[in-house]
Amino acid sequence: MTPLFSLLFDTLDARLKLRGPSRKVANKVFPHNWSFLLGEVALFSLVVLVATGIFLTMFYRPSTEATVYNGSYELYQGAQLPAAFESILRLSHDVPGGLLFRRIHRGASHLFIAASVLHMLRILLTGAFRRPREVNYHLGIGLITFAFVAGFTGYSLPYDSLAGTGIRIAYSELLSLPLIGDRVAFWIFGGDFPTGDVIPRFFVFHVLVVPGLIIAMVSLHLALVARQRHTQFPVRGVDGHKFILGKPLWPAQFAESATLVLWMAGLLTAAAVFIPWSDVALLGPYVPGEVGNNAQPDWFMFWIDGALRIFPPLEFSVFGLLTVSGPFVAGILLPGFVFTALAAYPFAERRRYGLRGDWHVLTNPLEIPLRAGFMLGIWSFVLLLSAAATSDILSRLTGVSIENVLWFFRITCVLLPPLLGLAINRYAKRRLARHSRTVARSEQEAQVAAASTEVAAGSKPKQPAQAPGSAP
Amino acid sequence: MSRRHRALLGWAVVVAAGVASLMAQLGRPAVAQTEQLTSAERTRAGIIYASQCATCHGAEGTGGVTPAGDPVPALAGNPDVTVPYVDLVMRVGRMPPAGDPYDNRSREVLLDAEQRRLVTAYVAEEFDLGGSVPTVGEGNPVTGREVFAANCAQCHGSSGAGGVAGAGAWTPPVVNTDPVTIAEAIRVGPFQMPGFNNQQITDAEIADIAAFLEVVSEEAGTPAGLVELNPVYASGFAALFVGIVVISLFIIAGRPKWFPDPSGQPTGRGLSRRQRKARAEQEPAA
Amino acid sequence: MSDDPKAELRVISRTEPPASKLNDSIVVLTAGGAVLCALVFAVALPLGGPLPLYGGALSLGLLLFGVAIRRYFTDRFPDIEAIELREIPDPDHADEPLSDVEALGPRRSFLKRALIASGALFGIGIAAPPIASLGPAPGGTLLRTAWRPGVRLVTNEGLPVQPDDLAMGGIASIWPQDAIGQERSSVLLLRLTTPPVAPTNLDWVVDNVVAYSKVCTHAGCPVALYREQDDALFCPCHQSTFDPSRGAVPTFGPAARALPQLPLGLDDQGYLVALDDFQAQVGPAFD
Repeated sequence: MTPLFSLLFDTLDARLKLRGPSRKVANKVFPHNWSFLLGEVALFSLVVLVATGIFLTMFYRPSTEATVYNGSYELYQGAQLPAAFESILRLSHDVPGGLLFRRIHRGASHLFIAASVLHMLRILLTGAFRRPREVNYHLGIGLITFAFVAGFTGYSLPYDSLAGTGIRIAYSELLSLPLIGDRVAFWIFGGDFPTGDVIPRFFVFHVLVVPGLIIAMVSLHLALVARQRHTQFPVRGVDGHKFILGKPLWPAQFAESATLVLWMAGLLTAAAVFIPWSDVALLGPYVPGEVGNNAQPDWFMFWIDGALRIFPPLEFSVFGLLTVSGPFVAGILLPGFVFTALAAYPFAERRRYGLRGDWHVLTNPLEIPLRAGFMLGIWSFVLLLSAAATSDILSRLTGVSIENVLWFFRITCVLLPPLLGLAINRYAKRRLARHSRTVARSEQEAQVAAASTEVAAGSKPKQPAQAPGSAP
Repeated sequence: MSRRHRALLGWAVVVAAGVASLMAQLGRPAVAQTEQLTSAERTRAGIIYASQCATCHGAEGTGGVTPAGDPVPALAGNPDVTVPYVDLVMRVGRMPPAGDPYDNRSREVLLDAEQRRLVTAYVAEEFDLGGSVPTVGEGNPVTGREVFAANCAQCHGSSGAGGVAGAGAWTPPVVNTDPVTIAEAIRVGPFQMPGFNNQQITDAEIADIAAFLEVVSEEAGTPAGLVELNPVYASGFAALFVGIVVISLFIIAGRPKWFPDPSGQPTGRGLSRRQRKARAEQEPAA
Repeated sequence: MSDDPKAELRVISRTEPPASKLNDSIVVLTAGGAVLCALVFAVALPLGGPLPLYGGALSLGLLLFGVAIRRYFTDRFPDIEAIELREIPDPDHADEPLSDVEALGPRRSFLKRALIASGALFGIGIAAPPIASLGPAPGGTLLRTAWRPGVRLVTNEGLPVQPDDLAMGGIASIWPQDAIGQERSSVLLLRLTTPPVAPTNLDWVVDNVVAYSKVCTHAGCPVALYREQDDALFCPCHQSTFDPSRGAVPTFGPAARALPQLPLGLDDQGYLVALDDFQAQVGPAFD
């Protein structure tokens, strides 16, 4: 410790009693696996998002009032533009570093959502959602939902032609809610689209409400991990139900996290140099009644857009009271169904196999046929829907007419996910039968099963056998 | 019925061109070219026509059917076929076709500027076609962008990258297209594209659109050569980027390993190469 | 605290990295390189240097500093694997009270329930009205557009339109006079090459010129792509296709309703006017 640091620490320690707690924190053991860092990637992306977001907020003007652009970008000199779009142009082309930070912000938003989804996949596949961690799993689903809202509102703020089209579709989605649609849409938009309130309100959602909720929920998410400790992959010779095997926070985990945050920021900046994913100058400002033949949402909304594209024409009235339409079924019910299925899955698994007690050791999804089938079924469904949102590009690249591309997805989205789910479910069942085992109902049972197969295979435990026993 | 209206369209083009040439004399830079071929040029043009066009359209320009049985429009006496139309189809490579003549995605252009000039003049003389090849003056890209967004972007995309039109039709990209092609296409309305007359898009606005597309084509890209991304391509790059980040996780925390097999294979924990080496050195000692 | 056995790290294995002069040089070089990159960034950004220069410098600096940190820690500290006891829920404390102060007297569960119920009602009572003030009541807003009998059709620039202003097979975006930009009132004007047939209302067709709402009945995108030879309107958002020569009925894609036809007529000066508002619901379903 450098003298300055120890002086500062001693001063604080004399007043706050830091020595004991800091040792406890430094000695906290972290299981070591690359997939455990996905959540950290999401966390650090959030930090980058907040930091760059603060910079962008200094320049952005949340308004659609007509403003004359007088900056250096040739295509708009002297043109009347919505203030939001004009401020984005100024930020991108007339503020040093503005474009770089916008691109980093956009890249970090991609990474935040992607890492969150991959993190959720890891949790789902390995069974880290099982008791006692259901609450944290549901918090995570809530976080991903808000990440989508943050991503969509952020995509909308520049008020370019794509953003305006996206807002229009979101408005139609709200309208499609049976019975209350028009009311809800008017509450959120402040009247019939496009009102002057849309952009100011989306701005408040994007920079205050949603990030506030995300930060609060992330804090709780982390507090729960600290309280409940990590799950871990099975390690032979270590009773993972009672012990955590890993590396201490200081120095190993700290070094990994510090390296990760720096590399991630470096990669985000490199991506911002090469990939112009936040540039909107050529898209032009949104003008009501105009659309470009390039209307697509960001990738994380592809699955909803794909569902809207392939859903067959549907609209009927129920007793003249309420209307059920395609956009409601494909754009609201279907995503709602997917999220509900994800949220309900832990209970389904516990009930299906009569699971008992707490679980801290991760399990191969192939050991649990229901989970293998559910995961492949639901994620292949979401991926196929996402692919359907790229139908226009696929049509152009392959030379197949778009009608046929959409029919292809109509059929595969219905047929393929259940078939794949059933196939892997059967495979997992046969695999268990081959080892003449059943799904373990408690962690102890699972360990006994694993130990017996080990003995049967005649292998010697690699870890010191006394390790668990030596602990009190 | 359609024919008659197309005749009207043909006349509209002629009239527009006439008006344009009149305006050119008043200082507007839009002139109609009238082409007179020398006899040597005529012979060359005749050879090109005979080898590249006559197979389907006939030596007399009567049209007919392709060997595959698809209809071929007549050139002679067809009010649809005008000089700008003939010039346009050769400029964009639709004719002579490098592949399927009915595939309207962007394609190879087989005739160079000189050959095109000869053929255009040849068929204009031979089949008595109306209209002329327009010229396009200087325009204002700022106005051009607004006109493009209001009239063209719904089919060709906000930045002119082209797109899908349904029923096996694709709208071609219009960036890196020369101004004459743009002017001809707007007035003629080739194939699935609706035409626009001078009331809707004036000659000056056409020049503005061309100026806008010129600016778009010159837009500075990133060091990777990328200019503004369509969300689908952006998503591809996002996937690539996330992949690189995941690889960096492997470098930081060790390579991924699958679960231990129930019959007792190695654990799911990964170690970096350096760690494994250090451990291997230590293990014999321990 | 130091004598708390729980605070101690229980080490399972400990691996010391071999001492390496090379590693020390790598740490110094990468950290120094990072500082150099930061310097380039700090100079190039304010001077308005090219983005690839200052962006590249920032990126390289961050990556190099990451290498420096990683090298420093792997070389200066032992690689330790440790074990920690999980906190198992203690069944003995399951009936421990949450606090030591309890309410007086016999339990009055009615009071408790009344208080909770009124608290909930009170909460809803004060939270709901502000939500209701966020937007006006829709009323009939979505049932009407700005089209009225005699309202002229005008272009983006506000110019009135005559049938001949369109090329044969041409298409134009049209607004009601005095309501340019009112999104739900936008209209597509088409001059068809063949006369439309039922279910197009032929009374509302002037000289083969027909007008339909531009707002898609599926999700509200502007249906603006016109394939002239096929006589098809195509929505670039979700690929709904409509047939304008047959009342703009949907022929493909997710849209379930035809685009409403605008009652079209001519005024005494020969300009196109609306005879009335749309007679069918404009845009997507809403209740």
